[in-house]
Amino acid sequence: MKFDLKICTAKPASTVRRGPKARIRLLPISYCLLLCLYFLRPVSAAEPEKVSVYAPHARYSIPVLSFDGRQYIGLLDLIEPLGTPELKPEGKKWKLRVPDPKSSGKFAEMEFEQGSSAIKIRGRQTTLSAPARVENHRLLLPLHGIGTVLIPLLGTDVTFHESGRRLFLGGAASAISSELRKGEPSILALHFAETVNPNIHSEGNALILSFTRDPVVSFTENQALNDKLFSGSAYEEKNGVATLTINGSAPLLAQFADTGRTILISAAPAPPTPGVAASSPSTEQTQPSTETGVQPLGPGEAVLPGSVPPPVRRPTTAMFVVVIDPGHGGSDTGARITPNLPEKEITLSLARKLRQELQTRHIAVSMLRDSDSDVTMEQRVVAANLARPSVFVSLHAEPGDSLRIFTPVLPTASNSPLERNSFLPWQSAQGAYSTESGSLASAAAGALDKRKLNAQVRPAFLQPLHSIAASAIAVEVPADSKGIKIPEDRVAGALADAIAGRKPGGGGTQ
Amino acid sequence: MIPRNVQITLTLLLVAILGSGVYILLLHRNSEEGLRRGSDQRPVAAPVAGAEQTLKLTIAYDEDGVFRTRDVSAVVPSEPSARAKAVLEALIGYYLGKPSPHELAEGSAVNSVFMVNQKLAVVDLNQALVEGHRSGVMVEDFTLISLIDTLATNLPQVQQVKILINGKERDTLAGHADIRSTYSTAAIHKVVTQLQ
Repeated sequence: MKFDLKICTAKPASTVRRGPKARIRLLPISYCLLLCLYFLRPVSAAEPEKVSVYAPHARYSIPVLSFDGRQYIGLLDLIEPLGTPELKPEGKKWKLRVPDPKSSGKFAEMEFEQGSSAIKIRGRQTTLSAPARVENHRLLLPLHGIGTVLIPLLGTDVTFHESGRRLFLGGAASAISSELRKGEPSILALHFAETVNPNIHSEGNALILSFTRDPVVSFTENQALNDKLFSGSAYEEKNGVATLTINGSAPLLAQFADTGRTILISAAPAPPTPGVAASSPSTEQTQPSTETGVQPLGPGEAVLPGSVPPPVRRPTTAMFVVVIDPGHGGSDTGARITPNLPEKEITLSLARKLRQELQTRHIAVSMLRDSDSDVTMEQRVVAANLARPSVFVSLHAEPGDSLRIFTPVLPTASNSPLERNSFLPWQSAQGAYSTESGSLASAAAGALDKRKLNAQVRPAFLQPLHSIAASAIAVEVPADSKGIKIPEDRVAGALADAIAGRKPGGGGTQ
Repeated sequence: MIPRNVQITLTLLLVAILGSGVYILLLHRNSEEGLRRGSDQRPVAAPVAGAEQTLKLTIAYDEDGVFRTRDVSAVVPSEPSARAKAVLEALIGYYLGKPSPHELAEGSAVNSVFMVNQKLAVVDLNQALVEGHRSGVMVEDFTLISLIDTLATNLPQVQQVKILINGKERDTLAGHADIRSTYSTAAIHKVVTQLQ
């Protein structure tokens, strides 16, 4: 080193010519540096290895462990979400009992021994691709050929995509079908057997849909589409995730339809164009002239450009759109008003009435569901925020006597209100609109009072209101076996009056 | 005719076989009992005893739509996690009594409370509490607020509370109140003050 320093001080760095001795000395240092860089590489970026399991009533993923160059999975991790297995040691042997899905009250049994490849399932001998292991009290079976264990044990159809690490039980897999609607520009429709919720993001002109929890499969890996807009699609399964890449000649946009069972892919609009992203079709018909840049969508549809969830952005235009969220839906019935009358039916009926009242006041409306469909909390937030609403109303019902209006309170205490000009945090976007939400609740209570309906205004920790970037309230109506206890049209009319009062030029302040 | 010595030998062998059988049966029973005890998760020792203290419970009154503070006496351990669990058990016990100002489902209980850095309390509630909980924005919120504010009042060092159900995250308590978020005790106390 001393020698090098002397050289460096004697001549400018660019003119230094190291002799062979100096090169030999620098070589080990370079190796050390390279070695350090190798160990300091960002290992956290590597995704943990897993298998995604799709059963008719459960979707989950389990970790993959490597021993002696072989991959293993925990048998109890795999079986537990499907039933209540019992694992008992019997000397060196272990016995696993799982409820037999074919005959209730009976059990399917499996016997195995640690370190042995031979196992007995329902009295029949079979051989594993590698010996069973017990590590930290967890029974591990080799991943390769796991179907030979699961088919007799569970007595169900098992399809295992080993390279993609996706396991389908009981015929859970459903194929993706695509339909290219030629036109100027063309639209590519992807149809699914059930509602899907992929993670969508774009890379250049390619739109990438990643399905983690949806049991979708494609039978073609690469497909040429031969269209001006769509050049082709590629399907890949890797580490429990199915990825469908749609390649285009221009940036693409994904749009959900048919309550999430269809994804329509079209050309993305030019980025500088400001506008609202969602509205109801009926609004389109009644007010076509006022809503430039509005993309017509069917009921319950939402536009999802880029990744999900997208950043919550404040509206850039002054368009007045109301998003109505009929609480619950599908498998989420909400409160049982009576054994035969779930909350979801009352909220949908009231939402339709409110939409009608708002439309008669020439206000654009978007409903988060217009049928008995499952809409997750995240889907509600994404659809609502992309509609860039001025007002968001969530509707609920309960068996009681009181009519209540709830203003959202955030779970985290904030010392200063959020800046609307910056990106808003997903969990607390409402923080930038708390004052307007409070004022809207007071206006709604006032409008109800004018119609001789007494409403309490109360704070509530209620989703999806926390994440809504707009004035937001929730309304809970009292209900009994006959439906809403108070006249539905009076409630809807009063709420519409209060909302119309917020519209610029509508007699109120926004 | 079997010789006498053979008869004696056979009798002895028969006795030995029967004796071994009984011994093996006993061993098998003992081993089964051992396994059963091993898998039994019930506590075998009483919790750490502490002095009887006055706890302040934030009680929800559904009919009036308000919160009121009530004092109860209870033996509370000094260890923070055990103390937090005892405080919440006292609150749930209050609600399970008859008449109750805010009814909870029978069997509602706290599985455990974990303290993280003494500031974050992770409260694991049992399935019975959520499965039998009445569905509604206000009633669900009242349970949530009451639990968190009672915890923060009696353990002032707790600044954040996270609710789990049987060790797992859940979106809502019974369809409405958000329990996926981590709650700031200050935000909760602000609401309690408004509704007192």
